[in-house]
Amino acid sequence: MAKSEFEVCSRVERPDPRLGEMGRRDFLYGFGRGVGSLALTSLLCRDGWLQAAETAQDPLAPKQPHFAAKAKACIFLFMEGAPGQMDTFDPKPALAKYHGTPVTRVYGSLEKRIYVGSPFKFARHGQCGMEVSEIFPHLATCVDDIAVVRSLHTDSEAHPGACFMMNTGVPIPGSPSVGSWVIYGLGSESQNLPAFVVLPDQRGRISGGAVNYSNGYLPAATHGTLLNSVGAPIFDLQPPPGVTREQQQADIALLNRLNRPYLESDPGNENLLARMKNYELAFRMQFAVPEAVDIDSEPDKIKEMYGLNDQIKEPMARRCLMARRLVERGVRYVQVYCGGWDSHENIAEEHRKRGYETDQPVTALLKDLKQRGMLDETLVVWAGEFGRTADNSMDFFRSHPGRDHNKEAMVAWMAGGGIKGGTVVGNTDELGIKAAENVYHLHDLHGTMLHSLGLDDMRLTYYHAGRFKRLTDLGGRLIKEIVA
Amino acid sequence: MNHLFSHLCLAAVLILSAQSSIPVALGADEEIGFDRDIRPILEQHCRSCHSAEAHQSGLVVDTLEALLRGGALDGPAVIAGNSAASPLVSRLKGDSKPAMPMSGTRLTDEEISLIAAWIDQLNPADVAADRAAGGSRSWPWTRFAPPEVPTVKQQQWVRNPVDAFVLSALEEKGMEPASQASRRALLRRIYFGLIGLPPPPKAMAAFLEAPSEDAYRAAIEKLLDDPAYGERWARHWLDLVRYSDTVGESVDYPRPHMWRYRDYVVRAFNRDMPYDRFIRQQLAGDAYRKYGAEGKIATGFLHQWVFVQRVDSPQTRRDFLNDVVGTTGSVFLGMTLGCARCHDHKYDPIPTRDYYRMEAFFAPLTVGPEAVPFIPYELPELDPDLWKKKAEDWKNLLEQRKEEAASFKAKLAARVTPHYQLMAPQDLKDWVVSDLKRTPFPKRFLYTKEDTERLRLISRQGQRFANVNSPDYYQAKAFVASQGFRAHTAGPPTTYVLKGGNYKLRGEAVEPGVLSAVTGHSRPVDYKGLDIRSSRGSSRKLLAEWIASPDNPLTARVMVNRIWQYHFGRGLVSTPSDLGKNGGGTVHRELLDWLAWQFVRSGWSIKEMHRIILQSNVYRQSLRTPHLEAYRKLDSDNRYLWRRNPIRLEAEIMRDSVLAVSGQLNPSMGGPPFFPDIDDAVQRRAGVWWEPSPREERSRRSVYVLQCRSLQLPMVAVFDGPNINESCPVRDVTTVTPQVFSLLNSRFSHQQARFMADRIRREAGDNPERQVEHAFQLAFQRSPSALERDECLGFLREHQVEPDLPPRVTLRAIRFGNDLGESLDRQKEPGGDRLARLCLVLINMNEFIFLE
Repeated sequence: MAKSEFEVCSRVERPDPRLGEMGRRDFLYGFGRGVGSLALTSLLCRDGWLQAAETAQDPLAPKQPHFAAKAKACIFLFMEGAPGQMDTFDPKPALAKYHGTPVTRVYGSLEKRIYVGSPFKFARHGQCGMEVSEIFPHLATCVDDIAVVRSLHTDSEAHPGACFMMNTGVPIPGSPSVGSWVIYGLGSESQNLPAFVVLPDQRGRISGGAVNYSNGYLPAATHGTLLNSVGAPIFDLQPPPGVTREQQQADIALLNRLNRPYLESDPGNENLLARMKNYELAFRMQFAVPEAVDIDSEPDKIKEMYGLNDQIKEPMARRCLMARRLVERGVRYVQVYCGGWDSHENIAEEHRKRGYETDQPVTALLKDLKQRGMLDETLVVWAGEFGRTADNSMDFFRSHPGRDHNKEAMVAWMAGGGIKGGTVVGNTDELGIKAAENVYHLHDLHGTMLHSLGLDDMRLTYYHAGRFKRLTDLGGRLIKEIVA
Repeated sequence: MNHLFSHLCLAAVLILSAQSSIPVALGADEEIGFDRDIRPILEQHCRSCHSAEAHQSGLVVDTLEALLRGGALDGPAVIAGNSAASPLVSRLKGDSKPAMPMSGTRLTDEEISLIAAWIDQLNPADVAADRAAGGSRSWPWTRFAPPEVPTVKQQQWVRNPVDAFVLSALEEKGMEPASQASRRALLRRIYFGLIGLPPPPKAMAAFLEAPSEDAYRAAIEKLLDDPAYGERWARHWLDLVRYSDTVGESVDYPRPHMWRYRDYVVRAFNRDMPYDRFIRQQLAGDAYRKYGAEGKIATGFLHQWVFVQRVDSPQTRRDFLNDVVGTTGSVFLGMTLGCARCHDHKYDPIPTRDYYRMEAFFAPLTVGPEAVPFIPYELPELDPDLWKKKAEDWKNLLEQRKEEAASFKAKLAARVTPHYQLMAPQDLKDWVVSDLKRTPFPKRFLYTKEDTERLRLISRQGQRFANVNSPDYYQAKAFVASQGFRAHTAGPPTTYVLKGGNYKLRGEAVEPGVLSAVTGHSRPVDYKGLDIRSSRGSSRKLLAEWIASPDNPLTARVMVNRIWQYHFGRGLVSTPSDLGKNGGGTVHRELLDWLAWQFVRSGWSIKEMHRIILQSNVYRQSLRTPHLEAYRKLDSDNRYLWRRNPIRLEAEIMRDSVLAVSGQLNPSMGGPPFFPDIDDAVQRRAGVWWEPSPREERSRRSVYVLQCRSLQLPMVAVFDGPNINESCPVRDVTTVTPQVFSLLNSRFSHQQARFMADRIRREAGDNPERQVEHAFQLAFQRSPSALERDECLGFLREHQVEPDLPPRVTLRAIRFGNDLGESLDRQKEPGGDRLARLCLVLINMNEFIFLE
């Protein structure tokens, strides 16, 4: 009885080769890639519902970009806590001279503070001669692929507000995140995987919580999906223990048969068919997601390249490798978090640790994308939520100096997706306190990201609360210097 | 005419496919609106040179009026009704030089044809008349008078004036209404609409046996009197006021007393509190002596803003004021007041100055805790025994946890003595030899995985901040009246008009005043002898009086439209918090005005509105009409109401319905929220933690679930729950895959399916046929069809006997006692119980979550 439901009725469906063995097996059961499963297709075929099923609205159907896109996907490496610009990509020799000099200024309130020189050495690398801090020895080998923007600034100086700003373009919660805008504009390339995936740092939570990857006022289908890099990847992805796959398949088959008569009593309601399709999709996703995040299946060479064998690098390596696998499988927007950059104290040791943890995995991601020919089509962005101050409070300075929050200057880099590698844009003032030359706002960074993905930030709008809203509010400027 | 239509359709379709940014589908008969469709295009391409500020060669493109006036070179840019003669079009096409825009990208052909189509559609006579009137105030800014009830051809279809208005519009369009829905569908409709629960099978049987109009009316009355009515309708209101039990943002502090405001809303609906009083209490209840403590609780409305940490504290104050002014504007007045904060409203007659005059009413306001004694209608006074028990239970639980923690730690300590920490003889030797007397291994090496887990649990239970039901915090504030609602400061600071909404750019100082578009002037409000500088909340009282006045043209229209929306799935105006020019508008202005007038005349009675709406024939229409295809072409959104729209139940109602059919629904009302059972990993990622309430508590209605801004109940979140951070006037209806996980895989669904199966066995015995019959009765209040019966019986028969697996004892079950309803109290694993699986399938069916 159940078997016959899976017979092909009119279309031959091809399994997705990227699904590997798992995909082929699913195909035999009738759950290959395509519109609905064969079970549903045959059911609907009989009743002449098939055409309706195919035209049923899919909020994430792939859409044409506004203009020819360089990148198809984006990986955003969010260095949460905010790395100091003068300790990473914006060397400030003058600051070293002032190291230990007191300064009285307003930081929250008027207070006596002390300048802190960077504890890290800088050297020139690559053909472009880009200066990179010693905490990124691996990344230094591919500076010709990255473009650094030294003159960014943002609107908020508190972590949650600044994270909302970086992720949604607005410093208060409730607006759609960049990933939601992107998949709202471009739809999804993958039918079996969520289009917008967030890989959180398992050590902590994202400041401000789920609002950072929420769809805000955009359709719920554009909400970001958290994927655990350890344990069950998605909440409730699998039924409770004790429910077998065959049982669930039988349940869904019964559900489809029982749902059929109701189509007649509520004619023209696309949601009914969309829901029926969704059960099939969900069933496939139960296998596609674990496959996509199964990094154990990678060759040893690759694992080694990302640093999976080093216990300290392993968590970030895992996330970076997962990011590549997801993008490879058609995921549009992946956000990778690495926390712990908030070094108010002891920046010398803390930033060095973060560098050690992230440098090899991030570099491996760039090189891996490149060797697979994917870098041209994948935009990679690296940024924190704001920059750091040139000075520190007296208390911390006495023990181990660090840096506080600074929204007037921050640094970010981009690579791939039509970004001109080996470029350095803009400058901060002598001590790195404030963006000074070719100053760009965070909206400009967002606008440039959308541009790389083929979207015009002025045209990517959504009508909400009385007006057409945008990611970049009144519009961002393209950072022309880095766009090839 | 036909030609024009196809032209419009074509243009609309092209635009939609070319540009994903316009979300509003243009129906075939819909007019192209300047503000909605044309202005965004002009703004994008022309405004950098032709704004009111720049006006190159005198041309401004911001308004129709400005385009008709035109510029120095061409004269009028738009000739109404004649696109061919309009310079705007010829310049854009490049037919006359210089072609526009001079720099930047050329408009697409689709955009130009849309503009041309819009110009052709303008009626020269209407345009001239409008210009002559000089932009006089228009709907909805004008006061409503009772419109004349129209006469219609099919007078027999009219049960009350609602029908006459709708039918008259339909007849004018040459359409006819759908026939009446089945009585079964009707009873389900009013049950879900009024109390948000499915009718019990017995109530359905009784209703079907007495097919009279009186039975229908009696059913409505019975449901209006049901306390569940208040719970259902309070949820609608809580969506609007962005109700939350926590403050939001990064450190999501609990507000353990906020349930008192939620209960107030439930009570207000149940008692049919006149809506004008409901407004006055929420905006300024503290300022009215006559409202007493209840008025203060009602000001919980003012406490709902989202706190965001800011480095510059004036900005925090701005956040608060922006939020409260914007929300007041959209919730009560249906106007996007917030738009006027940075610039004059682009579509509605709200100058920036008016925004700040409105803000000035709130200038003296700060919110904070203040003792408000419990009132007789609140749970502690209403049922002191239950209340005492709740507090007692909480205290006992804390004691018990403390004891458990202490004994567990003692047990560990006893086991992990320094002696046991030595693992190998060599270690012992080293230890003896060394003078250190330190343990060679950290203690944690001796902990089992379960020990570590339990230690983590103990530490979380005692945690102060991230733990929403943190022992001291929750006990101190949820159960006492000392944490209440304050809304006051003396000596109001001056309010300034701020340039671009930036608090550093102060302009003119303003006095409190109401919208000039309504009053026709912008003088300060009449203080009526009140000393707003000393009297508590007086300035807000003046605002509340103005909003709640029968003369306010917006208030009643906005509310009746919302009531309509919650019954029909879509308001007469589809943007219920924006009745302005850029909102969805309506083809039923007279009906809306008539309802608004009735609303005020009934003494602002919301229940009376339900009676009027629910008794109309419009409400009773079927989903099905023979003209579906044809009418969809004419009116794709069913704005003319030629049939019933299908409604998907909201997430909360789905959850409540599952509990109702499984027999687990706990009907107890009011009091502090219950803590849902959410996966540990999910909680950890959200950065909050709480201990789930006992299962009985967790089986209460969803309106009582903890509303935590940083972690919404996953089932509510995936089924388009409200965005708790801002006012939510309409729930989306989207279909996404995680919904399947939530309804098919979650612990909740599986547990409830098993409870439902148990209930069926208890009530219908072991006969499979009777089981299937009863399952359908519970879920859908009907018998299964022959086909359905066969499918289900076949399903039950297959693998009828499956091996019972031994019960699994999980750590979760140990932790929180056996009340999680997991496999401990079950003999069978979920997969083994076929009837439970059938129940799971039933609650996943379309028929279960869509309302006919």
